[in-house]
Amino acid sequence: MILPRSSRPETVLALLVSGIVAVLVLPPLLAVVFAGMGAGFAPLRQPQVILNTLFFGLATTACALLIGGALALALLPGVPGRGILERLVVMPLYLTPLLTAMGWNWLASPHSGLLNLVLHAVFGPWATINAVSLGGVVLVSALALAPLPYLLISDALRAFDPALLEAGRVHGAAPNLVFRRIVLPLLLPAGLASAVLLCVQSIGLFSVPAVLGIPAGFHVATTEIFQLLENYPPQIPEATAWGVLLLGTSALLTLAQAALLRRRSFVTITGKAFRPGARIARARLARAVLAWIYVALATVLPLIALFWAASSTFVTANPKLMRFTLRHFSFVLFTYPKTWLAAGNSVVLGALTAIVVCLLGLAVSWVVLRGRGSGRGALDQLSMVPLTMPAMVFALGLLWVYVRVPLPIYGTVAILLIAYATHYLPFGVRTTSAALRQLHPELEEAARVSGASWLRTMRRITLPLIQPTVLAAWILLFVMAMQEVSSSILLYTSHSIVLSVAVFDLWENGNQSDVAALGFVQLAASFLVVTVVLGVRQRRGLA
Amino acid sequence: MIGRILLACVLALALAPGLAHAADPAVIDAARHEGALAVADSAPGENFQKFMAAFKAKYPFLDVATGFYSGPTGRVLARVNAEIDAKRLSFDVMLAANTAAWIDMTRQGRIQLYASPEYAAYPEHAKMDGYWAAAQAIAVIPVYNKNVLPPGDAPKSWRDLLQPHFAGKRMAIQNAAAGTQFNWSYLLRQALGPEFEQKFAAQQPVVMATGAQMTDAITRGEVMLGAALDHWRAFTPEAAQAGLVAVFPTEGVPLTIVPVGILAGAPHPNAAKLFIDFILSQEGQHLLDTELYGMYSMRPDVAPAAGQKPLSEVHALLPTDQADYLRASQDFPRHFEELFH
Repeated sequence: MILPRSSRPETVLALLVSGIVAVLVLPPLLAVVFAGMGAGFAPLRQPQVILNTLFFGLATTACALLIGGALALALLPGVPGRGILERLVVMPLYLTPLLTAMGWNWLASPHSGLLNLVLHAVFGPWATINAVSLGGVVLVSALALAPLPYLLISDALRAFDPALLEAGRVHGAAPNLVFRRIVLPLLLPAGLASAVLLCVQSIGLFSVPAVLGIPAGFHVATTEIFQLLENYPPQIPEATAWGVLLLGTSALLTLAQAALLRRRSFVTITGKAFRPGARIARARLARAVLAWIYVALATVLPLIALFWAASSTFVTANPKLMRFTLRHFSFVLFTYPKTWLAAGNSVVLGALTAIVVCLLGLAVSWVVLRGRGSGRGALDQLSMVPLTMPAMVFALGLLWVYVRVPLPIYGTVAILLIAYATHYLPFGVRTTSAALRQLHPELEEAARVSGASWLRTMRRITLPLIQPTVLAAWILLFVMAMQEVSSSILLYTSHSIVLSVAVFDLWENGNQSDVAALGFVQLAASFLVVTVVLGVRQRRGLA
Repeated sequence: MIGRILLACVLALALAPGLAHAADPAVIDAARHEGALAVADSAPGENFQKFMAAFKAKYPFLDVATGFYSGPTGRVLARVNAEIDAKRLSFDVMLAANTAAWIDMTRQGRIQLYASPEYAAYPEHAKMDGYWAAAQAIAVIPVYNKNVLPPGDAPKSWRDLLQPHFAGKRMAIQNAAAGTQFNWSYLLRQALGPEFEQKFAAQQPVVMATGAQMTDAITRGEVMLGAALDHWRAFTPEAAQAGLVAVFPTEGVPLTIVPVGILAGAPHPNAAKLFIDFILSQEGQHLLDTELYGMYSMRPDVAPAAGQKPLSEVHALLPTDQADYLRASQDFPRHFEELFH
């Protein structure tokens, strides 16, 4: 319990926020832990899957961190075409891991992949790229997840005070030494946060291992959980035991991150004069080329493959049998009964989720970082719990709880909003706390000393300063909520169906070319909303 | 002569079960009072909506859209059972392709007894009398792409799959998650003995997450053949154009049935009765299986879809000992893990 000593609005906020977070997070967590008891050692019967999961998590994290970090450095000011590249490198977030994986499956299956057909024609059958393999699972996952470290690290770079670099240079340090002793340590919080986020995300990732890993005989914890849950009776204790294993791993990672960051200050925005933005003048062309290669691999090629699949009668190794057709598009747009209802639901839910999570996340991070009560650490940890749970298992917890809650929300869109808000709360907390962390408390203290009330200080000082980050967080959350599958598939009804579920249902049960076509609809819907929001922001002169 | 033919026609019409059973007016009145029907269904795609539309045309006073839920079998079962556990059942009727689950749920008292007059038309092993009957039946058989595997090399029997040229990731099967794969394994073990599956596993087939993915992989030639694929996937227009061919092995064809029944504690039990009578009738079966899905009906008086062999001409395999079937299904995940991972 949090007992701040100071003024009333802060106390009310702290109590309210703690209450909301506890109500959202604890019941599904406890439901899962109870269910997991009794099968705690089930995963130990499959040491190979544990090893696979660890390897997959670490290798994907390393690759994605490398790609994302390189992109963040490559896209510092000065690189030609920076404006467009900055938007293109985050495209995989819209594309979703499922569609990226399906795209690469069509691009680089050993016998019939588009790239392999070209390679075989040019070099002969020895030249084969095989995405349906261990390496394929890791690299495609890294391509799909790289925008996350890119966003975190480039955000940190944006708030970078070049005075620090000048200080290094003035004192005679060589550029290498400046990079090693000043730039890298200052990027440590963002880098570590990225690594932990990536690790947690990749060990919780289902779609890429399912599409490219299962046929290659590469099984990880999420594909095991999927199988256990689709069995009858669903082997919930075993599935949850895997979930608890992932939860433990993620919790350890989060604790390690906290321990590493504890004794340092990373404040770069203070009340004193500062000029944000690091610059690199060197290797402009090489940096642009690097970014374009990423765009090609992570977005352009998979999109081409998806479009190819969506506009062919069917995908087969024999091009003579394939015909151009708009049938799949016309099917998903006009025949498939779920598309339009799902698109509407997805957009509304995505927007509401992003608003709720931004507000709640901001409140949590403010209480944790600026509040004075004890128990702030507990609130911080509690708000991170949904991140450490594999989405599929967390979804089961949600189902059990909300089926039993005596409120008229089960079977409505409201239950999906609650599920999403819980699921994405950690992202809201992390992004807003990163913004608050870089804001020296002296700015707020100055306002309070000058007689401004707490509310006025928030409205006039804190919120305007972190507004760009919050808007970026809103967009990220909107896009992620548009893609949420795991809890939606257990909780939706015919009226509250969302696009991601429609896509996933088709993937599991339907025509794969239809999936590609519906994927385009999903992509278009989220892209449209984000473009409108960014346009409004620009018109209001806040860009 | 003509008179006798006419008489025969009239008699046939009068005796045809699909046409003979008019719904009880008292049930219709009660259903009208209930006003809605909630169906949980595992049949893929938009075709089931067309079936629901046909039912709605018969009983326009029922709201069949609000409570409708569709998903793969495992998810339908998880959702329905979670609601029953929480004593908040919103569904009336369930259609789900996992016989073991139906046996188990019937034993637990989760299925409502309802003596639909249509049950009489169903063979013994395709129903549990008074509780549920098979609304759909799917042959789970080898399917190959004739542009990849020359028909001369194609298998004709299950034992042909043990030939060396199918070894080493050339065949695909479904993940253990699908009840379909258990049914296949169980029925083939009975028909061919346990050593068949051992030898088949030694061929190292590729395990696919879903039947839809397997169809894609066969079409593209990533595998030579799917060893356990739902037969109807080989009879869609796209599959026919792409050159997919279904093999009905000589030793017998494992049938996956998709039972339908009323859930105990259904909120709209009378609407549910009307639905069961319709879906199991000759008319309903013809629409659902022959026209919409290209699946088999277990009713002998329903013809197969165009281009498909009648069920009477394939040696169909169905489980006969429900207790044994249920027991084996519970061991299956571990069994599958040992053989195929």
